[in-house]
Amino acid sequence: MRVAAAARAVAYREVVWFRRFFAENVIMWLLPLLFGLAIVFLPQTVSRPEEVYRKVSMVLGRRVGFEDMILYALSLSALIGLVAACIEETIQVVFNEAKRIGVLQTVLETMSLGSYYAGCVLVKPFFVGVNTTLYLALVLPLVAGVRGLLTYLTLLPIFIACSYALILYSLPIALAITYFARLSRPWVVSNLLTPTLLAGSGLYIPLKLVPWLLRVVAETSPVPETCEALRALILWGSSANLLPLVVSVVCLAVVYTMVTSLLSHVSDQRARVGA
Amino acid sequence: MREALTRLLHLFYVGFTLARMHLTSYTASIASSVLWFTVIFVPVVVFTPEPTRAIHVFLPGVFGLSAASVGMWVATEFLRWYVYEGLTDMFRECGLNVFHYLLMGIHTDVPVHVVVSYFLASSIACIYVGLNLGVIVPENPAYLLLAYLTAIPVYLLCGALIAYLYTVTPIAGAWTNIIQMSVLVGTVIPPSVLPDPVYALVNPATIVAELARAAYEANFIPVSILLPLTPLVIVAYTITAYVISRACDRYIAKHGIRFRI
Repeated sequence: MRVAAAARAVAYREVVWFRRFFAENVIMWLLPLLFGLAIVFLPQTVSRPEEVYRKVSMVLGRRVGFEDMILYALSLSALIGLVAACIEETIQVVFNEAKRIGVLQTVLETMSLGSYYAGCVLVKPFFVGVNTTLYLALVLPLVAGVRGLLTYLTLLPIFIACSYALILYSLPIALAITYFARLSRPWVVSNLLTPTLLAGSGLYIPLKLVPWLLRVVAETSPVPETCEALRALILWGSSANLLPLVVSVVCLAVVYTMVTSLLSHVSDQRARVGA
Repeated sequence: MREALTRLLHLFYVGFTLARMHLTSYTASIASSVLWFTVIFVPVVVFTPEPTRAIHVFLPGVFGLSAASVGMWVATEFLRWYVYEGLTDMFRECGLNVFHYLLMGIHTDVPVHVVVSYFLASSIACIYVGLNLGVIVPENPAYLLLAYLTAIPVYLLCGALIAYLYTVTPIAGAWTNIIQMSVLVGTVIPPSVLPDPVYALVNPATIVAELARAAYEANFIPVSILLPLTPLVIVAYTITAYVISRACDRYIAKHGIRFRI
């Protein structure tokens, strides 16, 4: 019951935040859109388009034309906003609620920290997954018609699944920063983690091209698997074998859930004594 | 003259102390910029059939873009975050406006965020595509030095412009971020996309990017136009930035400034 109440409250908060921070949402849509367009068009400002497509085909291991490339670049760009929203919002909201705005004390009067975060995990990823990728519902059909719309509908469950796994990934980090580490600037962690995960996952380029150090950090998160899944679906369509990637993400999510449960139990005690 | 110089040195001292106080944020900010660069520009370089040419065209664009962006960040820091903590008023009571605040960072923010980030990002791009690091050594270093010198007034002007926009309009900080995207044309987006590359000079940061490109002989606007423009731009941008900052300060004195994110 308490988890359901927390979920309802978080859903209400997400709707209110969407309206209040609409300008920030527009930026979250515009920036990835610009990045996606840059990936397609910037190489064409210094080389002929057909040469660019040949090079891209060579790098991705499949022959691509303009439509494939723009669908590929725009769809993968949506991960930028999604990863940033999941990581940065989770870390900053957990920290600020506990240490700055004092909302958490009110929450703890009615439920445990575990119930509250369970409610958050149930609802928030859905909102983040849909909200950060919403612009694709308009942009993809505009650039590729029915194929664009179908691509969006195929990719949406992956975006939502990724945000579930990513919020579960960021919660233990947020709890560790808030209750177990004495960091004067906790936002440094979230600001660095987002580009590290994206760079380590390759995003637009195959993982094998990424230096091993970045790759190792990114492998702790579900972002590389999500990139691979999106790449496979956009370039190879329904024939892509996603099972190993799904299994990998589910295993990671189980580990994150276990760590989060353990940490939230200890954090609850710390939060109640004002640590 | 001596008094002005002493005041400038004091500002540099305060700027250096602020940078030292925020060393963690500073280091994290550079690492973050370089990583974001890796996310966006490495694929562009990888997907371009001539990676060396891509590095010589796009990376100097990042050099110009950083000069403008850092100025805008510093100005909004002064008018957005410091307002909340009462620090903006404290600076203003000492007779310092956004121009002085920007000036404090020209010996720290510009070299670190523009030059160091540029060479780090270029090195990473070379590593990704397997190019020799010698590719980022400029063929004409004098042009890169000129680009650096021009980056300072561009940093001041862009900072002052965004400060004025933020002060006199009620728009949220997020919308100013969208306006900031206009500096992409001429910097990261090469001037060659325009009917005449010279049109890109409307963007103050273009001249920085083009001078940096000239260091690698990859410029789109001829050096014969860029060189006579450089001293004019340095003087004109600095004076304009000062005038705009004064106007901004007068507006705050008369109407105040509302904290908003």
